[in-house]
Amino acid sequence: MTREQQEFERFSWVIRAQHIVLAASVLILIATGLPLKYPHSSYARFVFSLTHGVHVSGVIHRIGAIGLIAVGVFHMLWLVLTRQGRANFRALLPRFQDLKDVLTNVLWYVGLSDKRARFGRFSYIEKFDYWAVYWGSVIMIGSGLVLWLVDRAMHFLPKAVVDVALEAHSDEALLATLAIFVWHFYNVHLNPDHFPMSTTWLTGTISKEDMLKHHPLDYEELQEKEREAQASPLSEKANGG
Amino acid sequence: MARLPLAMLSAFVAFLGPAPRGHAAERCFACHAAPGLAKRIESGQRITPEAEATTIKGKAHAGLTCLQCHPRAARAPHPSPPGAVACDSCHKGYHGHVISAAQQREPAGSSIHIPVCTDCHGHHGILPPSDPASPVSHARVPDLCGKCHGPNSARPFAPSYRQSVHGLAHARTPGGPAAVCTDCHGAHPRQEGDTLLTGVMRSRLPATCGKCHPEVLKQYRASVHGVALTQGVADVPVCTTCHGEHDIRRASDPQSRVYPSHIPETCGQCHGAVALMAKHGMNAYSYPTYRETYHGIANEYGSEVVANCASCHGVHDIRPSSDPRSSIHPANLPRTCGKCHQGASAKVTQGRIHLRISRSGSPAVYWVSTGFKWLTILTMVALVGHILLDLAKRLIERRRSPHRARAGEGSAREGQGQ
Repeated sequence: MTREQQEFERFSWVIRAQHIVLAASVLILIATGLPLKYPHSSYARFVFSLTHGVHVSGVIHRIGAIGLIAVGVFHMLWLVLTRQGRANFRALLPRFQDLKDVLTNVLWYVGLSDKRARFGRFSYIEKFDYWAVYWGSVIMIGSGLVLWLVDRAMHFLPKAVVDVALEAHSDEALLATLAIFVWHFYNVHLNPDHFPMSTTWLTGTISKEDMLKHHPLDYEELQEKEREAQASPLSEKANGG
Repeated sequence: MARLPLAMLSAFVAFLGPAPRGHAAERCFACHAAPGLAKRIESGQRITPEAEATTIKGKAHAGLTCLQCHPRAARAPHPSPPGAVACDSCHKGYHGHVISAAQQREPAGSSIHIPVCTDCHGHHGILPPSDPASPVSHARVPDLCGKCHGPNSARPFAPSYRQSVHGLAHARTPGGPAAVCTDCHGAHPRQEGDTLLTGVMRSRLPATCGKCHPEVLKQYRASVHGVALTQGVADVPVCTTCHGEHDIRRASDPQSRVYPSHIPETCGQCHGAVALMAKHGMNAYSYPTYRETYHGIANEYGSEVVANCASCHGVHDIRPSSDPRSSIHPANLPRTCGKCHQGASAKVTQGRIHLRISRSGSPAVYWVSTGFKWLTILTMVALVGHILLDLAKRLIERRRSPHRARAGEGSAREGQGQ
């Protein structure tokens, strides 16, 4: 393997597995949820004819919901309990630098500056995706549980609150769907750098070329660490021995 | 053909005696027994009036003379045609009613055949309606009316009746109590002024159906619809508005208008009609707001267990929510919702059931909805804007350095990234 073809690990298998479960769950939820939001669309007629009415599609929707809840709970535990989780979480925290990166890039896009933002492990684009999932999951799981356990809800909650849950569930579903299919899919599938798809979500690896292009600061940090490791007494000892 | 003039001649000779009087049928038969005067009856068989007349014996009209029904035949030679049979010389009134009723409906010059007595009751061999062999006996009425109202007629009521719950029950036990045409329409409806008082007039219809369905009638009379009907509100639904007319089906029949899948559109024909509801000071959004709910969507896609209008409002006993006996009175709502949603409490009254999003009517939902609308718009403007800027920049970069872009995209990109 030449240096140009060198691959770096970007996402561990734990991260990739979480993403796959999340993606599958969300796609199931969108596929079976949209027909209820747009019941007179041809898509709704297609889905409900496949499932012979709303019952079976509702069951599938709840299977998707279990997937989303499970990956959400797992992710929280992973963040708290593992070193890897905590490190990734720290890298994903929004910083003032992200705002400056947005400004830098917009200026570069419109031609007012020659300087392009240089990202570390996570760009503001990826951070937006990550935190949008928090916002979306909290609203969708919260309101979704009210609708799932509607008999209990009708005991404890005023009708108006159940109505709000339904409205929020429906509205946030659309926002999330648009964000995924427009924003996320552009950034990882449709833009000319990655078309038809960045394979990182499957292999977990990224080429040196893409590393330099999209995460130059992360690359530099890795190089720094490598140098430190080589210069450390432990490796000297190893070399000497 | 040669026999006919001969027969007429011999008949005429016989007629030169005194006019028929009393039971002098034999005088009529001097002519009418001649085979040449035989007429072709429905079955295609040729029958002489004499042979026909013998069928009177032992029937309702045994003992009548020919001239009692055919008074214009007293003169010889008879006028041609001899004119209508004079049933009303004994049966006062009936004949005129049927004729005038039909004439009222038909424009002048209409070619519609208006039935007369003999069309239903027959000719010489008339039997009392109580006789099972009479064409107007209860068991045979559908066949009788179906002769004119059959599948190829302008008014094909009989076929839809045959498919109805009444028609099917009648077919199973023709002598049974199942309603036939005359049970609802009446055999000889009474006339008051210009109005024909039939059992199927809107104002009289519930009482007509109530003859066989007294419990339902009682509930309907006390319902918001029944009360309005007695107050003279003509638009109010009567039995047939929901159940249909000739084609009334069992509620468990998927083709019934009151089958769960069809209830919303049946109620919606009035409760979704804006002008009609406005006329009576009611809102027309009950129907569309139901359609938008999960209940409405599930119902539309065939769920038979999900709530339809009747699940909450009742069926024949629908009452306004202000009535404490109403299933949708606030005090009764927990129980009504609880039929499906076990555990529903009085909390279900804290909010709107037929929810229409409005700032004053449902502020919480309104603000959540409005908030999400703008959040979605602004987010998507920002995200799509970023995407478009990115694409535009790529296009500009590519144009500026076409050779690098084609020959060595990789190094060009790396350069950009640095």
